[in-house]
Amino acid sequence: MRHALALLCVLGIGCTMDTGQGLVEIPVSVRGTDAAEFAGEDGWTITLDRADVAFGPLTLCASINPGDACESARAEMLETVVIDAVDPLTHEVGALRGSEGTVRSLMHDYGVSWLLTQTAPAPIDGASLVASGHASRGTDVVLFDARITIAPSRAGLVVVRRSLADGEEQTLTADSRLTVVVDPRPWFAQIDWDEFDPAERVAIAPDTQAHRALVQGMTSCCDRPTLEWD
Amino acid sequence: MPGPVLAQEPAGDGAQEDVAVALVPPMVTVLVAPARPTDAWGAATVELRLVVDVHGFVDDATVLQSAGAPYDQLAHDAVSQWRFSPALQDGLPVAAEVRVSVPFADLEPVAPTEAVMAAPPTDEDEDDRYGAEVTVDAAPLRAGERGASDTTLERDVLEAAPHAEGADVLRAAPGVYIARPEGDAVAHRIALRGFDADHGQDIELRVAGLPINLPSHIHGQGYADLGFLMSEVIDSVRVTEGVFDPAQGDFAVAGTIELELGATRRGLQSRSSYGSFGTFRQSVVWAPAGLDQGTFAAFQFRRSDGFGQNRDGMGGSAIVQHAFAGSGGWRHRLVAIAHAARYRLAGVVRQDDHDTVGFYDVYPQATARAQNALSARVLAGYEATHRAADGSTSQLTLWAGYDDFRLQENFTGFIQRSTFDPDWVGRGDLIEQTNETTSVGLRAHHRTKPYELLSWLDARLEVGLQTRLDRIGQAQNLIQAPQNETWDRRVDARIGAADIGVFGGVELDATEVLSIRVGARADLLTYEVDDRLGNFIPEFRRDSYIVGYRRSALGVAAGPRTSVVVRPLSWLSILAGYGEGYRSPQARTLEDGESAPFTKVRSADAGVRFEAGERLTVRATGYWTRLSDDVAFDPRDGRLERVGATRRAGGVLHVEARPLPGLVASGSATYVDAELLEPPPASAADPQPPFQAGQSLPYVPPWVLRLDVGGHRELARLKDLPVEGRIGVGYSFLSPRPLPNALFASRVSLFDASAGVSWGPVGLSLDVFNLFDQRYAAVEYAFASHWDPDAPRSRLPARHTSAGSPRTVMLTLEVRL
Repeated sequence: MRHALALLCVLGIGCTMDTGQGLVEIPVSVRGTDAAEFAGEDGWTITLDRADVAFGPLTLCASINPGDACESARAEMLETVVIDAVDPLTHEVGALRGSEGTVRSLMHDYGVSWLLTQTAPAPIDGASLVASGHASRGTDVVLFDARITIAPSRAGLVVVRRSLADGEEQTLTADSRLTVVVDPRPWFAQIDWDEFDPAERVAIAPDTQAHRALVQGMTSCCDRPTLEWD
Repeated sequence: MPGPVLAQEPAGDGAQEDVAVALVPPMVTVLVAPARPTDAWGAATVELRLVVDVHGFVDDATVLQSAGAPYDQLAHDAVSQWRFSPALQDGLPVAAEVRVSVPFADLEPVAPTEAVMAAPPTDEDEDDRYGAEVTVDAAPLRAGERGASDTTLERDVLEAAPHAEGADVLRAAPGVYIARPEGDAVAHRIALRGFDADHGQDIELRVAGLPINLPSHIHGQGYADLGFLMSEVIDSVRVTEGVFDPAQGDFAVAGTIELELGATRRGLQSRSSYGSFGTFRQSVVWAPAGLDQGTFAAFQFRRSDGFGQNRDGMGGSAIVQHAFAGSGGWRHRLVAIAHAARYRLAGVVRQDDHDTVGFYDVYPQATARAQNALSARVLAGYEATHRAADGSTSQLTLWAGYDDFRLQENFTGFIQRSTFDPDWVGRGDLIEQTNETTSVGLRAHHRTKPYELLSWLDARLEVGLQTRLDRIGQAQNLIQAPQNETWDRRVDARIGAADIGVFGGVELDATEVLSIRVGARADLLTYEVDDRLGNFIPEFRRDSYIVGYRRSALGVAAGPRTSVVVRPLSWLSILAGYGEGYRSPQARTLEDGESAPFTKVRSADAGVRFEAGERLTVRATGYWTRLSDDVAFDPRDGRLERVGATRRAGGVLHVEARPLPGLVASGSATYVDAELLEPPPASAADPQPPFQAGQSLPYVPPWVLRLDVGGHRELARLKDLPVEGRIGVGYSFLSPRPLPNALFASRVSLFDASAGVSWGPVGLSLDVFNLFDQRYAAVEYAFASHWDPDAPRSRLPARHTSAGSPRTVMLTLEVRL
């Protein structure tokens, strides 16, 4: 069979010899969470009116370790997409392009990358998280706005670098489908709302406990966006 | 006075005819007429038997039929000055006996100076004038036939199609494709019978008996730059495909290519060429008349603006070879080769950047425009050959060489990070490679006379020694253009390497029907490595020692070499062979005390050869090769990386025809099914390399087709000088090559054509390369790169091309004096 395919190749009809992995283009969808109202720390109830999360670029690696060890990607989505984190509906936003095979690690930015050729990180879509809403406890209501930028710490690095556990490893095929799920509730639930004056509308500023809590939530091991495969 | 002529004698019985068919008889190139006796005026004829040695000299002349002492002596004096192109048996020069008649006409005496006739014979009257009785009385230096697709390409085939440079003559060999994807100062990339030999790691290359491959070269194991070659002085190309000859050494994985140098056209020859892209080439060959055709001095210079951005440069080479006879059956040859070139490189362009950057152009960043290469080489050798009267032969070759290489090349754009300071990034992945090799070596072999074991069975023994010592200094850095500031150091090493190879074999010849060669070869290789960057101390680790890793290793590679030739009919040979060869490792990959691992090559082939005299030769061969550990080019580091065990199986069909006087055609089709048997060992950085068991080998074209057609004839005579026309066509086809990461390269289909006319000592020719102006890649790669500093970095492997030359027209003026 290989010889017959090679003969077709020389005749110019086509080349279908086995070159290892096949190329794939995998649809990528995003989904938020119905987070209209959820419980926070110390009896606070949080309501998100808006939570837009910039997500990407996304790189899926064959290597166990991401980062510089991932010289060649298994698949990637170079675009940054904005995920409406309070919309529980699934929306197709793009595609992963790459080749078939096992994915053992992944990495992604939150819309702000620091290329090797740049002296400073450059926001691609303004910010990593734009959110607004209110936290209430009894008669106390804290109106808040958040505009968070999460940049890599060093040129060429990616913000979220994650090795997949044994059970999480994924084999990409032409039939694979990916959904990125964002749940912002844990990020806001960790904020100490008692620090804020309920009488004022609050803009969560850098170097505050609330800012650190959001960054920690978006980048920590357990509350980052998850990948669901079909 | 009529000139002397060779005797027209019948070949004799059938057995002699068979021998004659297998031979290319010696041809007179310099004919000296006898002087007249001062005291004899009558007509007379002297018959003599001449022994013509392997260099075309008359080794001995014996009067068979006397015409009297004065005539005999003068005839003897004349024929002793004759020069021949040597007889060829199976493509190898052999000593031969020629029976000639020297007539003295019944005429008035003439002055000896008026009787000298030095014009070489023309093809048209060749059969009439040189159908002499020829018998072989001395064995060739080495047994001729080994593999079924062994091929010796003679000058007429090599000259049939136009060639942009000397090494392009190799394209006429079956299964060979040669290209220069990294500019004219970096070695060619050669494919041979299912192997992408990159810069030579799979092909043992020898020119005029001198080894060309450089072990442990920074740019690729077995690096072999043929840039010094000049097509004007390439006499023949012998291609041994497979590993069946015990004399084949390191790098003979796909096989061995040997080029012999010589200048059949004697006198002074100048060729001036000018053409597309400001390309100018000047060559001068001086081959003193009356001397061996192996004696010449040649020089070439070439400069070009290049066929796209960043491709300009110049280079030159000189070759001097002196072959002469000594006493007592010895022949000597001195050869010296010098070459230097510097060209800028355009490097690679991502396929998705062809429209923005330009297929033939270069990325605009300084790191891309700073790509260039410089090479310089000197190689000299002395060869002594002895042919004893009993048929035994000996040969000794001593050689020494020096090679200097420096390359700046950027494959990946902007993805590297300095190991010295991780914050040093984004400065451009301009790899600087330097390599300096000083080598000395010798090769010797002795082949005994034939021993008659039985009335129908002869045996010869052969023993040989091949050794070389190399001292190598090499470095690889990342530099930032245009100041060439070093921002990372990757390699800084000195290597001492020694290769001592011994081989031997038995040649059994059962009448003319069956020949069996059984032999073996063993090589002992040692390495001493001073890796000055070994045990590198990263920034975050506390120093507890001084950086460096010095080590040594030794290993042995051994294997059998066998072949069988059956000749049931005079025009039919059936050949089969099996052999085991090796490729040495890159020294820096060895650990201390490691029993140096070798790539073990197991090679087998079988085929048939039909030969209808010189008019038609057809070879059909099936072959199989298995490598224990193969390599493929990895552009990320600009060097070869392991890919695991591989297997190749395929076939070769080669037809060579000379249907009409002055017309020659050579065509070949080579197919290979090249499969990766075992994926490369996983590493922490690359746990799943882009290769899978069973996949087609990257960079290996399944099909290679080649056609060379050339013809010349006399068109008219003008002022008593012939006006000769010449045309030639060359065609190369490579089917799409698989690339890593599920990608395919495009096919290559190239026509070259030439036409020329000569009148006496002046010739004018027009050569057109890539006649139909096909846009093709000299080579394609698949890897991740990042060439747009302002865009998100893609880590997906992408197709990259290094452009091949567009249509190129060259006009050449040739003057022969």
